[in-house]
Amino acid sequence: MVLIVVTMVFIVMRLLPGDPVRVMLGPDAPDETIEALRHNLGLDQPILTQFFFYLRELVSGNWGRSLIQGRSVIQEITYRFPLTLELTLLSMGIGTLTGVFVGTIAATNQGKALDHLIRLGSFAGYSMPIFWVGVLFQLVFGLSLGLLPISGAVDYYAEPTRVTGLLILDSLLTLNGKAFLNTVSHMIMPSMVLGIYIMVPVARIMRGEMIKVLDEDYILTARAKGLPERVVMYKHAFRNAVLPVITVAGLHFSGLLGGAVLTETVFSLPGMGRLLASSVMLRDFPMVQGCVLFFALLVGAANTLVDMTYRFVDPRIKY
Amino acid sequence: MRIPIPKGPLTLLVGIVIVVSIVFLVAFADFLSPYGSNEFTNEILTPPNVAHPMGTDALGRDILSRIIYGARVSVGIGLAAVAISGTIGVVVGAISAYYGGKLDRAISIPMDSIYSFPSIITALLIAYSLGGGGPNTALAIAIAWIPSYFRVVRSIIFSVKELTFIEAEKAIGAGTIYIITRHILPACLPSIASLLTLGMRDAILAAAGLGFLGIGIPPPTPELGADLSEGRRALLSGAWWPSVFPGLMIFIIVLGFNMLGEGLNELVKLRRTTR
Repeated sequence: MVLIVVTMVFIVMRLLPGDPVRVMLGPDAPDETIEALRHNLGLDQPILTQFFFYLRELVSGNWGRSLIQGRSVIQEITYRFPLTLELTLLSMGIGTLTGVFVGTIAATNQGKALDHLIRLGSFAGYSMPIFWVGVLFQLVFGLSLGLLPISGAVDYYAEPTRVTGLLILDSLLTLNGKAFLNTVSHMIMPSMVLGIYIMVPVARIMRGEMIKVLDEDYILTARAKGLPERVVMYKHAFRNAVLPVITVAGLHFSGLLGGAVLTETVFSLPGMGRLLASSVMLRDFPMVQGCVLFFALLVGAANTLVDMTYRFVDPRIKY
Repeated sequence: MRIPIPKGPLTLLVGIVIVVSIVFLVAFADFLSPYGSNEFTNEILTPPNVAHPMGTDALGRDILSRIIYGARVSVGIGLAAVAISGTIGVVVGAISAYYGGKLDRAISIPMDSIYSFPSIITALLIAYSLGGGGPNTALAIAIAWIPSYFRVVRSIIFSVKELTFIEAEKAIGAGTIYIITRHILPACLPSIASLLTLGMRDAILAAAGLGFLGIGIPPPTPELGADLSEGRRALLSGAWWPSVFPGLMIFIIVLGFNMLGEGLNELVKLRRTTR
């Protein structure tokens, strides 16, 4: 799958109508400059040669240099990627947990007002543009109530020593309480905003599955055995309903990455998503290419991970 | 106490109401909008008041007018994108599913790969490579979403294909094109309707997102996502209206199509179970 996306990126970026070099330099650039840059980037070679170089460079780790200040593409990406990872993991966690919770409540109150309210809420939640929700959060919690900071991942005076790049983790690892509080307060809103994107489908699936499972015979048996309702719910109903949730969460991971691009832009988080967004705005060809390729690798890795998790959680699946 | 509100019809109804209002708004934008979309006034960044119910932006333009015209732009891009990707996706999906075998595998694998990649980023990449502008954005979104339509149509057709009456048709020697056009496609039609409507939802959200990131229709044409992005600059000075209202409009439009699409889905399910 990664190979296909890699090829697709190549096709899109070099074969589509529209001259990337001209786009980068602007309409007034003199022809020699354009040709020089084209030669520099290797875009004047025949297509197959280009493709060969492209693949070779990718594999060897030379992803080119950014056109802005000549920074190494792969260095920038690997520096910023952990923050995006942190955001994604947090949102995934928050979204899944809240989704499971909300879905269960909806299922156990099926048909009542609470259920309808929750379903209405999930329609609404899925229709809201992420960047709008982000701005709303900034307005309410950041500006009006003054509770949470509205941008950045951490304040410069509270920055933890960089161990992994995941700032919250780093503050824990270095036992830096001040940094921990600071980074958490910065990351709450973005994670919640992005978490909504996961929460809605998870809640919906959870609700459906719980309703189905609660109807099953073994639930009746458990109740007939005299087990307290709580045990019935958690030990039997919940466990079986949760399985498809993992699949759904995994399926939405790629959407989460897309959402991360928007969320990072709204909250000015220095992660990979915002790097992609700003590279696109600045017409930084090598950086855009690098970011997209990295995303491809990420998605490939995530899909494999989900497959493995699924096999782990449900022992009935044998390969 | 259980409140037996039938989910399907209500969702559909609300969806229809919203979408019809939006179509009305878009069609009669010129009459409904109090000001031009690019009419500069001297009142810069004024909060909502009687003259400007949604306030003005940093250049003194009335926000209500801008979002009415902006709705037109967003719906337009959405329609174009859905038309292109719907057509291609359905046709390719139908062919791939009907013939099956190696052709199907050859098409499905790249489709699945693109599908598993974040669509917004794909659209972003394509829009970037094509250069900005409205039509390019619509094309980019269309291409990025083809795999979604492909997948759904393919699975529908796989299930329809196995039905006995198709076998009977083949037995009496009906031609392939005949079977596809006269029997298989009509069987999918209701599902395709909801698919396209939900596709509008995705397309409009994507268009707004791309506009927010700076790709898409260049200023000064009003575009809801771009306006929201512009409006963010005024946030720190306390002006919430330039960013909140464009987003609200996106929300309402998308909600309308969402509910319409889901309502249609429910309708299809109901019809299937009551037959």
